[in-house]
Amino acid sequence: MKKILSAAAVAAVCIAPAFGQSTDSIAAMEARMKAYSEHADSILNAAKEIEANNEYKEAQKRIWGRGRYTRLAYVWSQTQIENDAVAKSKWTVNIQKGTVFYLPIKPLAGMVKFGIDAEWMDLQFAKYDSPYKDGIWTSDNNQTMDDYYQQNPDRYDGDSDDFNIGRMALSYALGIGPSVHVAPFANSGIKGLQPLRASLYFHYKPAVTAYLESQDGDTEISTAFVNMMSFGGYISYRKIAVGIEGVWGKGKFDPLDIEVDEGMSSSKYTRKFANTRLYLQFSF
Amino acid sequence: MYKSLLKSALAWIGAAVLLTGCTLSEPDNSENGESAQNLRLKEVVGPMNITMVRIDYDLQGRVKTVETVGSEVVEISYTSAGTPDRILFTSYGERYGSDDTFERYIEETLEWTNIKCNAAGYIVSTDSRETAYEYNGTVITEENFIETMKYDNEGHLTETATSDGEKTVLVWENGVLTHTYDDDNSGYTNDIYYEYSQAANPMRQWDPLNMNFAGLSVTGLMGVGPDRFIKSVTEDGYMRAVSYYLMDNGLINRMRVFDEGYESGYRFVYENTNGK
Repeated sequence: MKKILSAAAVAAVCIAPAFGQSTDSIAAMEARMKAYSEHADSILNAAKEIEANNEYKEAQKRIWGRGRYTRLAYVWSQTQIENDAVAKSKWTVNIQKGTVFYLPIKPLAGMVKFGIDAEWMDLQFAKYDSPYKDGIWTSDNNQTMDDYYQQNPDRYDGDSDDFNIGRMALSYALGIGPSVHVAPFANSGIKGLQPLRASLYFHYKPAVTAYLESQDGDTEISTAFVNMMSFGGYISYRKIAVGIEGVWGKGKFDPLDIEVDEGMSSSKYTRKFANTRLYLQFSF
Repeated sequence: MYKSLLKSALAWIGAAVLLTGCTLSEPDNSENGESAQNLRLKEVVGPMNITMVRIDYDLQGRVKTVETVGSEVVEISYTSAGTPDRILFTSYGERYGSDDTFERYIEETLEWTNIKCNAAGYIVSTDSRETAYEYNGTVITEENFIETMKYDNEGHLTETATSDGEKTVLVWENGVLTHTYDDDNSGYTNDIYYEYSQAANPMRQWDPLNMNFAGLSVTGLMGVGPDRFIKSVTEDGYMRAVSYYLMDNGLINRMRVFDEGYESGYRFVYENTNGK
């Protein structure tokens, strides 16, 4: 573009004497041509700037992603009534959906960004083992019962129809909290490595939790508002991430006695939770 | 530069892994190192935080009331000399009222007065009055009799008998209670058999859920408990398995009972003898 404009200016200067123009008018033409050239330069620079800006935005999008995420987690969870034995999970699953809202400022050193995370859904189901298994006990109840059933096989009611589904908890939480994200290769210019990121976050998670125990046809359920916190981190590459987080908290549970003997005094009690989640994160 | 950044990122993630490994700690098993003599049982709490037994003490540290699973309450008052003056046992019945709400009413009371104790402080005889009530408070029957208790040389309760012919025998062998039965010629013996683990019971502590004689076992007024901890209780041919987790001072910290195919846990809550 610049070359074309320069050539046109030179041609104009050469042709001018042939048409009998004065020296003054040639000088004026040269000045105009110079102005045109400078204008062309500024247009060109602006175009370059736009192009660079687009490239930067594209790179930023590639590095930092869209912010929305879905997490599927396997969880090692524990629960405990205060001062009582700890019940560990047989298995626990969790799904989370949320969004990272990056603060609208340029990344620090081109590679560090801050955000506010908002989680719309944190749904977890945990199945727990009996907490009364570990430690040194005065006798082994299973052994005692095995000996008894061997001597009294007619007493064995292993095929009992009693509703007995054990211990479990279902919780639904929302979450909010800050996060920091580092893309160490953001400035490397290596497109393949730029989207590699490490992130850390801390979330406050108000949750509604139901805890259920059933035995021999008796079902007892307690519900509570539970104040949960989480701290975690993940490594992401493009739309996939793998992460780990700890989630902990406690709430005052109110038992809803479904088939508990009347006259028993059940009262509110504090139950604690601690979860370690290993998750896969998808950001589509 | 990139290597150092990568290293720092990995360090962050490593720190996150270490910090996020969330676990809960098992309760202190030593009751803060208190000796057994400085502790007294306050509550036994069952599944879903249901209080199965609650014991209240008076200012002198003597048992004032024992409430068992909401269905039975024992109230004890003392003379100025410190011996029991009156003991009132109240058993509650349950019924649904006309508006379908649940009602609890006094079903039976047993009042002990003129209580005599032996040199060890165990009750040996009482004047007793047993009263049965309708749900509306009307007295159905009222009986007066004398009740006597016998102990062996080691302070084990071996027999309770009433002047109207009821008798319960407690059989002790080598320091442990193995069998209790009623011996009143009615044909019904109410046999209960106890089997024991090898774990020593240094404080001769009673388990108020599995060895509770009218709520009194924990008061110390009816002799000492067995030398070892039970592992099963068999009643009417049906057995439940019992196991205990002990504190360092030998007192029961937790108990688990395997009953009708399900294991449930209980915790024993103590307080200092000064009430804290």
